[in-house]
Amino acid sequence: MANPGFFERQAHARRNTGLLIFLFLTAVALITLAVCLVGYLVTRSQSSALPFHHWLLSSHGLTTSIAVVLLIGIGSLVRWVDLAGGGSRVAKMVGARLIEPDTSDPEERKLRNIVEEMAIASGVSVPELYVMESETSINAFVAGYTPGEAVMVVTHGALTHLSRDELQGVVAHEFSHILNGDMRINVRLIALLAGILMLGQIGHFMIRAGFYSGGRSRNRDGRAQAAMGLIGLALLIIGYVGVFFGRLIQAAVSRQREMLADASSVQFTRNPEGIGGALFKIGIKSGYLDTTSHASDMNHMCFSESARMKFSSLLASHPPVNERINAIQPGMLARLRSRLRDTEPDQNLRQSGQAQPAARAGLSDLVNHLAEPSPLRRRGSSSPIRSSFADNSPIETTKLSSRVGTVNPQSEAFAVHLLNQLPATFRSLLYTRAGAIQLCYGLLIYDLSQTTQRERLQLVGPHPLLRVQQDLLDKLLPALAKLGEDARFPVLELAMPALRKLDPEEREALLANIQRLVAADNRVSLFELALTTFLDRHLSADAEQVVPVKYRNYRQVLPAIRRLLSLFARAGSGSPEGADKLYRDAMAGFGTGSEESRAEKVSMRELRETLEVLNRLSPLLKPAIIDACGYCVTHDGRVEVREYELMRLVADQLDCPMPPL
Amino acid sequence: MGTTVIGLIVVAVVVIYLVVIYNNLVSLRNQFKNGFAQIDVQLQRRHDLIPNLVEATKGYLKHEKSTLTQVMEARNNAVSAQKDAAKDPGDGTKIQRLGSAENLLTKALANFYAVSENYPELKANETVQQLMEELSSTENRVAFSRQAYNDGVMSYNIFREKFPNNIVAGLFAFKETAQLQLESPEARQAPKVSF
Repeated sequence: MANPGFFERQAHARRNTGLLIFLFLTAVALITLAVCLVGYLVTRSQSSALPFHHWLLSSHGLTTSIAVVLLIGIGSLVRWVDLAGGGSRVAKMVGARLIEPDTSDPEERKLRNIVEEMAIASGVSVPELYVMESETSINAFVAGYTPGEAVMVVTHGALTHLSRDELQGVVAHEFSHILNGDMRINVRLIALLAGILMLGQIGHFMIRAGFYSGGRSRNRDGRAQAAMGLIGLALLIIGYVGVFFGRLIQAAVSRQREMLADASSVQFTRNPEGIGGALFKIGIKSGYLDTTSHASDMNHMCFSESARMKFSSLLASHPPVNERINAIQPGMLARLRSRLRDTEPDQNLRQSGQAQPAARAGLSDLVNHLAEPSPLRRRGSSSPIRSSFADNSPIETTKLSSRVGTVNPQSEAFAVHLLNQLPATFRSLLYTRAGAIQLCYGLLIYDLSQTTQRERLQLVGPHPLLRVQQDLLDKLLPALAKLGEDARFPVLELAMPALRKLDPEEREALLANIQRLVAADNRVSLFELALTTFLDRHLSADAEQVVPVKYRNYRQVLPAIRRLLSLFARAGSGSPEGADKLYRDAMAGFGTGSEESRAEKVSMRELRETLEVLNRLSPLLKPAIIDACGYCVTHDGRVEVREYELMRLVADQLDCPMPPL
Repeated sequence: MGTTVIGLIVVAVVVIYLVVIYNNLVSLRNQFKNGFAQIDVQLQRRHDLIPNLVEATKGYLKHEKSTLTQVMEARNNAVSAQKDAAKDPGDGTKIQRLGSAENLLTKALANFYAVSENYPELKANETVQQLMEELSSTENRVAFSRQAYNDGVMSYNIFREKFPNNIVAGLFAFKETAQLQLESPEARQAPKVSF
């Protein structure tokens, strides 16, 4: 539909045409002069020493000038005729594939729907759609002479990386180009530039011809060869100069129009976030068409810069991305950046700051993450931390006890990897008391449905510090869901320093709240057990006191050992028979063996008591217990998360800091 | 002799100018009328898609019969309201009735989406996914066609009321037209699928 200002914009576009023609003629004149100058210098020695302007008017000068103008003219004409077939010729030029109107591919269908919606909103008929399949960057353009037979080309990267709203913003931007008559100018410009660029190509050809023919025959006049080579070189240089002017023309004509098109896009979609988000992603991923040969020819037509260029600030035909986002809506850039920090793993952000080609794979993952809002993932699904467990294919059979209190490079790498996977805001929240408290609640409820979460949170009473703070929880829960269960304990440990800052009353109240949350579903999962025991251990009143050694031999604590190993044997094997065998093997180390029978169930209270008792063993006796537990857990060569958490819990309770397995 | 020629030229220029204004008025008016017809087309499309959606999800939503019947009833209601309004588009009350019927349908659909959230196999089904995309696209199209109509009305009114144009408009009876306010602003958004 016609917008207010529609007529003004048409007038604006017409002024641009005038400017374009003027610039083009100037460029042609300058180039002609330059070529004549070269010709003059080359032939000066042969003829008498004529001043330049006389030479121009002589037959030599005129011939050269006419030749140059003709060359440019022919080059432009050829491309003009080539593109006269309409927008589809441009689409073929870049090797795009037609999208059928009744396509069944869901992404193409989505694009088709978006385009049809925009056609309704703008009152323009639906253009033919093409997709550039080999391009993974985000870009798009329209081509054609009249709105009735326009063509829209979109890169494959745009289809996969942009959300529906963002894709709609880009499409609306292109529609505004159709509406404002920009298309015709753009296509003509490609033709005009082709003529100028042809000079450079001829120069290139002449240089090569000069070298090759020189090598083959000796009969040629050496000087003529050199002359040809020189002329070729000169033409090449002039060609580059011509390209420079061509880029200037593109830039002058198109920058203002791009801002106008952005504004029109917002007007059509009534949604600044759409096109803003698309520009933001392009800022991260770039719109460079790396696999298209004529990318630089069409730079002015595309949604964003399509070819890398030197002097890009001068010659860019689009305003910088940040400027465009600010023009659409001030403040949106900061919002988009903060949203990125809230959700993306830290290392991806740091990589994007450098934007190296080697990190490109990480960047496309980043943009892919941005593309789909990640749904709440179920427990046990893929998490970035899991790989570090899965990779340990041969579990070290060296005693676990020997690793107590040590740090090795693998653990360090694991730790670094973990820290990098946490979103920046998440990490900084963990270091605050409020954030750490919310984390404890969050760990207990993150994988429940929304309604259940709300129910559980009601159990937490009001308290200035310990009450539920939903805004912090909203930042923590998605990250927890994404990190998965492997990161639960490490993250909790990260929060411990902040939790230790609570005073005794607050600690008690926190433990009470946690207890309430755990008891809500009348079941205690292993993780809940581990969590409560862990927190109890570190936050209870006697947490900081030294535990006196009470037991100096195993006989005194045998019942406790039995209970513990029963639990571990059950956790470490899949079947009751397997558990029995495991149990007997483990107990063998403590002098008993074949007559042992495994306890079937170990309650939470019993476990806690067991661990308290075992903690009072003499330090020299503890390693054997840890080894026995470790044996149960690693005998099948794999460490499940459950097993790991149990192991970690025991080691923690026995005051034996243990590195990750 | 010279003055007559100049006078004739001036008159000719003025006449041409007035003709241009008249033609622009005509073209703007036809544009928004076309916009109105578009809305009808998109509403029709929406009504046609819904039975397909209900059919495709019936198997999964055996226990949600009430939601499905609610959707179908709202849809039938909207269809009859649309047919009614198409017979006599100038009637304000009929347009109102159409507006509220479409509103009810939007609410029923929102309820349907909320319920289908609890059935992940439903959302994984490819046919259902396609239908949902088509439906959400249709919601957008209805909204955009209304938006386009309103934009067209606005351009027409602005042009009509500007200074020299209003004289021509008055001469040839180009009336003012009102924009369509069918639904509340929140209803403009396609029903969001995720909560």
